[in-house]
Amino acid sequence: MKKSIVPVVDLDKLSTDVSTWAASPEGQEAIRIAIKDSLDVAELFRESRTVDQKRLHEPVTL
Amino acid sequence: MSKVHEDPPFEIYRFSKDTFKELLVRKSIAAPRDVSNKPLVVYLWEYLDKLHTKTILVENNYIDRDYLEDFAGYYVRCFKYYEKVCCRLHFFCNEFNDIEFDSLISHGNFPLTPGLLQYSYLGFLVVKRLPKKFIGRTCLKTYPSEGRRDYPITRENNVNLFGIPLSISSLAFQEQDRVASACATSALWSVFQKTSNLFNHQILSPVEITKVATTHLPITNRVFPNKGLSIYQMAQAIQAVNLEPVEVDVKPQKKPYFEYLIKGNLYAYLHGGVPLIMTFNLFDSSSPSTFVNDLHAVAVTGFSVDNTVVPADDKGFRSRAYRLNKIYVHDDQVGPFARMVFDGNKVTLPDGDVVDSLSTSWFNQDQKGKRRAVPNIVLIPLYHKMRITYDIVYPEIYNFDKFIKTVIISGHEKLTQEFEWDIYVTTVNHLKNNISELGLIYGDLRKNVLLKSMPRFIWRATAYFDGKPLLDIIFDATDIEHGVFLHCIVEYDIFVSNVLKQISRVDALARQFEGTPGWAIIEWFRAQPL
Repeated sequence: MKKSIVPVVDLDKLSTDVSTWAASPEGQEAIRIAIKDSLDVAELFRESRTVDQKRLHEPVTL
Repeated sequence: MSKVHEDPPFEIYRFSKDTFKELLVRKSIAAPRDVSNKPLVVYLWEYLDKLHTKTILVENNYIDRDYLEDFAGYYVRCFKYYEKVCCRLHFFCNEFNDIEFDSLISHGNFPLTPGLLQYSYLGFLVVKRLPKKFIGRTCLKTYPSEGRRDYPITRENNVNLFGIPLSISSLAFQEQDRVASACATSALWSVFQKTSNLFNHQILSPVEITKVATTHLPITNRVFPNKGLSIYQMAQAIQAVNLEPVEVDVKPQKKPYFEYLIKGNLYAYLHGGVPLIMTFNLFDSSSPSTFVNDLHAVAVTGFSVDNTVVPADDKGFRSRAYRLNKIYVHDDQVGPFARMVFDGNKVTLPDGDVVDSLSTSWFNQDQKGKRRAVPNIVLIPLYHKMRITYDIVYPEIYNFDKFIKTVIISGHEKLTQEFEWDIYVTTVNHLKNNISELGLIYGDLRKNVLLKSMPRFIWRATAYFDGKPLLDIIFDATDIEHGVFLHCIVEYDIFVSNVLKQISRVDALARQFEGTPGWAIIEWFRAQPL
């Protein structure tokens, strides 16, 4: 493998930091917003596949 | 005696605008004014001029398979006599004359060679001996890439010119004749040229496409002369060649996320070599402006990317698809590889909505400026085993990216920089070829990936940073939507992988993403040894 973009880090410290942050109020709020954004996008993409049947009968005539 | 038998087998001319138009008049039965005033003829001349065309070789008495089907299906039953034989114009970017070409035919060599002809070959155009709608099967070379243009929807078209084998990488185009086909049929015909090559199905002629489209869903008007199809009927034609039509609603007024939705879908399939049909309404900005209610259909054949922009959506998700700034389409009333630009300009619809639109090459009615396109539905013809579509894969990656970003938010911004995702459908052969060529992994890691059994059709999401691939997330495109369709992950950067494995193990974070799209990817990293 080639040289990494990530500097050498203490993975145990990373784990502790992320765990502490995720449990904190600001972490909880950030995660809630991230998941909500994702679910909104998933819903938008799902909707894009449910085309109104009437529109499928519109003439393509130009 | 017909005109056909009077023509010599070939004629050679130096390329010029007047010669090109004169040949079209002579070889069709169109009136000179119908040729001169035809926007398609002007477009083709300009296109050929930009390809630096120097010579036109006319192959008289050419039998074109697609026209022959249309001829048998319609023209032969007219009282008036129409010829079944066409004429084919070949274009070259070097200069040669009758004597040199004759020498090549007679002696097989010198000074012109088959290799030289192939080197300078720019493609061909079939002229049907019809009035007004005479441009038949046309295969022209694409413009050079220049690091931004990509034409994945092309195929090798083999040509035999009096025993000289020539080949041109292109996608066939032809104008609608308003008899066997309107725009819908022409777009389907172009798309089938590529899908037949990709998914091994029969190629239907325009008259055959119109027939299969209207077999089960008849139109109240007569089928021939054909005035057009509905999207439903176009989908029917796709099913007739054993492909599955996937419809995606990209109407901008309904979708605040329009730009990302349409660019993502177009890029994901085009980059994987799958052609699409885009339907749209035209907005004429003449005074007074008009919104054309009837739809137009084009075959999308390529795209251009802007490498200077930050390709992020309004929530910060970066995707290579968002670099897409132009698409190239076979528009049967404009020409092959016609440009449509995502230039950010909006139009006001009759109901007052202000929506996104694309530029087109259609002139406004007052001939001042060009009409705008307001996208409607994108139709994607997929192999029946390709069941997982872009709308299912995208949220998986989007949510996983959000998961990664929590590390940045938590203060470790140096750990996971902003990844740029490249999401597209592909095949196992392309993936393995590409991994071999990339040369990023060696030894057991490389061997495991190359020897791994994978489905034929896959979705590939590559995370890049600064142009360097970090990991490939591979989804099984043949799986079921509600299953775990993540197939495997190929890691190119051990430290990035270690960070992802570590944060995936943090229950306080990871468990909150359980059950959301992308959870399978997090689970995969959790299960890997550190």
